[in-house]
Amino acid sequence: MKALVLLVEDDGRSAHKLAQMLREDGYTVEVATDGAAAIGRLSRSPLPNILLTDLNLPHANGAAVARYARSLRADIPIFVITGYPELATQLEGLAPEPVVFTKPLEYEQLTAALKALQG
Amino acid sequence: MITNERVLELKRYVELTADDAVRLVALSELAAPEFPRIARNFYEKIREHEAAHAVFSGEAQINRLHRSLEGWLARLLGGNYDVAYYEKTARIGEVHVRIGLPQRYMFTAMALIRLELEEIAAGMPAATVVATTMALNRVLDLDLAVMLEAYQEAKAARAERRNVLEKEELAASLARTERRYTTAVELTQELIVGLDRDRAIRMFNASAERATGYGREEVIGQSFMSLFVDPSDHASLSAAVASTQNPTPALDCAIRTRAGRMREIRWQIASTTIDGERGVDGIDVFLIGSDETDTRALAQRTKQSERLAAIGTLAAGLAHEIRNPLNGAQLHVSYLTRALSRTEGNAELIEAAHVVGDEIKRLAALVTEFLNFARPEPLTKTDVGLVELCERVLPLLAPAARSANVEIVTDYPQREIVISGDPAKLEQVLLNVAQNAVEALAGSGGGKVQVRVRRQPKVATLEIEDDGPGLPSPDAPIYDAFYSTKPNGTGLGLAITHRIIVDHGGTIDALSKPGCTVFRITLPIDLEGVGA
Repeated sequence: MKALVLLVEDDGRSAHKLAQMLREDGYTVEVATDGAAAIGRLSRSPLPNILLTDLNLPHANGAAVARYARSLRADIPIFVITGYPELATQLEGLAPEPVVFTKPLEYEQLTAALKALQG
Repeated sequence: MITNERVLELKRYVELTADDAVRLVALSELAAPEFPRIARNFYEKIREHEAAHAVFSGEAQINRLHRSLEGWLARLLGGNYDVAYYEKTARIGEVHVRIGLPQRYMFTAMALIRLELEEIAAGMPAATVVATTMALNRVLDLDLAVMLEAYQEAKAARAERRNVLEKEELAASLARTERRYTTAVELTQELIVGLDRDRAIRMFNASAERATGYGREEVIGQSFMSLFVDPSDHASLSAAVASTQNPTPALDCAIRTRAGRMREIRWQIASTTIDGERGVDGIDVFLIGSDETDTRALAQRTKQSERLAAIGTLAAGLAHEIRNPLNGAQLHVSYLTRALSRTEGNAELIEAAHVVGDEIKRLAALVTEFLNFARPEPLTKTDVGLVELCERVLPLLAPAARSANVEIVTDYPQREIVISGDPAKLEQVLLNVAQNAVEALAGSGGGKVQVRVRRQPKVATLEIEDDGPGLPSPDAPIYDAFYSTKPNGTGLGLAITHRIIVDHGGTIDALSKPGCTVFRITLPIDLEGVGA
């Protein structure tokens, strides 16, 4: 059973390239390009196994998406990929703490972290 | 003043003769036993008069007066009417002035004495009564005349003295007032310049001296305009000075100092008008100025730093936004590298893709460093052990040191030194400085880096010393942003380091000569807070 990743990223080209690489590495990936779409997708089944989100997003920010995801599943793993790592304070109070990557993302670091989850 | 001539003149006038003196001496034999009674009666009468009584201060004084009245009576009938006699009489008049006895009481008192003595004279042998009474009246009149004259003189002298005193007092109070005004004028921060009708300087206070650098002795009498004001400002200042509006609206007009600098002054111009006429003691108009130079310079600096801050904010925003396209580029490079790796013979292409990846990382690092510099985060302080900090950070440099043939030697105190600081920021400081040292040695084939931690009474010191080639020059702006001597340096490392140390209330100094460069960082020890 492949893990289902919800990738939330408003830069469409980057999102699709990252999704393509993750798929090649054996993940099922769905992409949302704004916060509202992400929340909409989270509200439907099946619930993704992993949330991968940007912070600055149209309509609803990454922190809101993360909180909504945690409201559905208290321990859903969350990875934040952002150009504004100082905005990670928006994620305060979320436990377990989301892992924050600063853009530009090094793909190997992300896959290492994902593999550690299955560990 | 009683003089011999005066006495003779008076004697001639009242016709007091040697025969009179003989008759009065004869009278005194009869009268002397009566003197105490006369004195007592006399003062009892006087006491009935309120105004006269008011001059008496007590029984002791009245007893004294009794005795002196008796003495006077004895003198009066003593027969010796020389200058010394009348000097004593004159003194009686002076005393009356001193005790404040009104003149009219001297007449009435003399009338009382006259009646008493005439009564006694009436008891003389009948043939001598008339002559004795006439002699008595002459000597009494003469005494009264002398007393009155002395009284007048004493009173005039007293009035004169009072007049002089009042004048002195008035002069003193004027001087006091003047001193007060002078002090106010000299103490004020405002420039005060007085000009006469010809616009020459007549007054120049201490603030004006300070602002212009000229002493008043140099400028008094000179034309204010030609000495201080730029020709382009002459017209507007002249118009304001000639204006009848009082005071004029503020006028900005710069003045040139002795050193040739311009100072921005805001002037208030007040014409001195008294009773519709211009001019007070030769001063026609006062220029009262406040020196705005420093205030304006400060405002300008503030504006400039605000502008810089705005540019910084803009740049920081731009730097953030660079991360998004970098992210896209990085992902695609990763994808390319992966795709190329799937087939043989693409080694060169893969190498090229790696170079692109490295350049992206470099750009990303620059953005991060720039943001650290432009948007420093506030310190999150906790207790930081400096030895522990070194032990944590220096191993991170070990791989770079090894490959550059650099030995890192540490020298720590026996006891840990704990300061209050932001551990992550201080790690960055140590890493930056130690990394610089290692890199400085890498170019010259290796060497030794020594890291020393020391405690002083109020500060902890952290020294990073290398035996490399040294800084290019002692004046190199090594803490300025974007100054770098390294081929790929961002020029932000020491700028950030400097800022972090200053934020901690510490200092950083570099001592450099070829073969020995020491960066010395001091950080304050919070003596009251953390355990030291």
